[in-house]
Amino acid sequence: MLIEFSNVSKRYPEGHEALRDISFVIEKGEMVFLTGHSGAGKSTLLRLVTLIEHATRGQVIVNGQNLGRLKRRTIPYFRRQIGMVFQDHKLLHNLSVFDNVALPLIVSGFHPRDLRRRVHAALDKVGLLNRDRAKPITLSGGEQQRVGIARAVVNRPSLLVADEPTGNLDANLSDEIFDLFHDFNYHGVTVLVATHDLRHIERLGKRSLTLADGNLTAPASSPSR
Amino acid sequence: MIQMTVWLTRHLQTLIGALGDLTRNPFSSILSISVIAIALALPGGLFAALQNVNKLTSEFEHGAKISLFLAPGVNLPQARKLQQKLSANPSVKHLELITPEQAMQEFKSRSGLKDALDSLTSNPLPVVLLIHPADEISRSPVKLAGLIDELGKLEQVELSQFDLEWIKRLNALLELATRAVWVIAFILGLGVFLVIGNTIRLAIANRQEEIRIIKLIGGTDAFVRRPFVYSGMLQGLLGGLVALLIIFILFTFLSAPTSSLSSLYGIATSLQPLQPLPALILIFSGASIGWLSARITVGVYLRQFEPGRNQL
Repeated sequence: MLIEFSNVSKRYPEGHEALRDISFVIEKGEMVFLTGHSGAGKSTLLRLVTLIEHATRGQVIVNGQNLGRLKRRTIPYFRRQIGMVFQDHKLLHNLSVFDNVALPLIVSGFHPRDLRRRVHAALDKVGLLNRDRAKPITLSGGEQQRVGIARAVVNRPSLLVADEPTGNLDANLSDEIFDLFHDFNYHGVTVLVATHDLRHIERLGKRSLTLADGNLTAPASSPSR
Repeated sequence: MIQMTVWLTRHLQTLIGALGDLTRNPFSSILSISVIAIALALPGGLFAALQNVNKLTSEFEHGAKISLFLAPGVNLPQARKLQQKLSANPSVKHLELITPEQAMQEFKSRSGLKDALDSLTSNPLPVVLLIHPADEISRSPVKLAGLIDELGKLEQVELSQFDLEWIKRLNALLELATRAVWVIAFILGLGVFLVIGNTIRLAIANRQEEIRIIKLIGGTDAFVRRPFVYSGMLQGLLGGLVALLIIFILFTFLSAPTSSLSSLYGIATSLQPLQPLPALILIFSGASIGWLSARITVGVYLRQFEPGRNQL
């Protein structure tokens, strides 16, 4: 399996208990939706997977690594195995689209010779090859999110994690984004997407984990198709 | 090999990027570099001034002579014999004999007491041997004192006198001044450290979002740190260069009055700005203070971007 949570709880320093005794497994190559109302703990769960936060109790294993035992120094190398997509895109607005997508490669010391090819492949995949010189601010919301996705996959990660990637997009654009995720999953990438938009779960027929008030209510259900 | 070129390219890119950042904000860059330059120029200039005084006193010392006043009973032939004997001594580079007549002549011409001296019926002045010690002796105060002592014990010698006692006192004073300059240098170096730390802190605050994103996509601390460290180092380096320029201008400005002053004292000397080595040390110190300051500042702020800090 790729992700395993065993009796994981997360309590924030201010006392709020965001996750309560969560256990589940996501297999390699799966696509799983994470649903629940806002405040149910979806973001917290993803923050534990991407090691933005540490679990208060329990054990999180991602890609064979026990995150509680990971040394501080090795966190960057761990994050390079994961592609992250954010609701607010988190693009750098002083850089061009090309440079934004190239950033994970630059950060990991990729050879400049192969960089252009990889960035163009990623941009081509999300249909923005012709906008590589534009500044993100000149793009529409949907396009900006596609740049964010290109950046997430340019490193060819084994796991793609997205937190409400279509939160600010209309239905058509959301469909495009989720179809992209579906396509990556088809090509072998494990995908974990947090969304409150249940329509996509129906449409794509994938397994979902539902959180309510920090508890897992539909643990490890089989595909609903 | 490929790894090496990648590494080198990355560092070069960061360096150029850091330079670009400095030019993007010219006013604040010039301001902080000027503050650094002034803070470095003060100890640097004082150090250069001390160097000049040291050079001057060492010239005095080099010309230091020991006067041997021979006993009144010693006549000229006996004195010449002693002169020959002492010339063989390896501690003595060169020695002159001054007869009482020569001494009287000089005394009359210099003291302005010619009339009074003319009234003397006999010459009361002794024979004097003027000894120039060998270089290795005059360089070492201990050996010099030993030689003075040794010569004073000769039976024909009434008094052995080293006429530059005041140089010793001056040297002690200079030693104190040098220490004071080091203290000033340390304090101002600390000032430079804080100034650079502050500009780096502001730069980090301006680029928080960028740092967060780079950390999220797997940037190491070293990667995040690098542009800031380069920026700090560059500021220190440029500050050092400007400090050197300030010292140079200052010394050029002072050199004309100094040489006219020293010529009044009959000393042919000119004001020397910093020698190449101290100048290099000054620039190097600026750069290393900048490097260290930036490194520590970024290190402190990077900890805010750690898991569990609720910041990313």
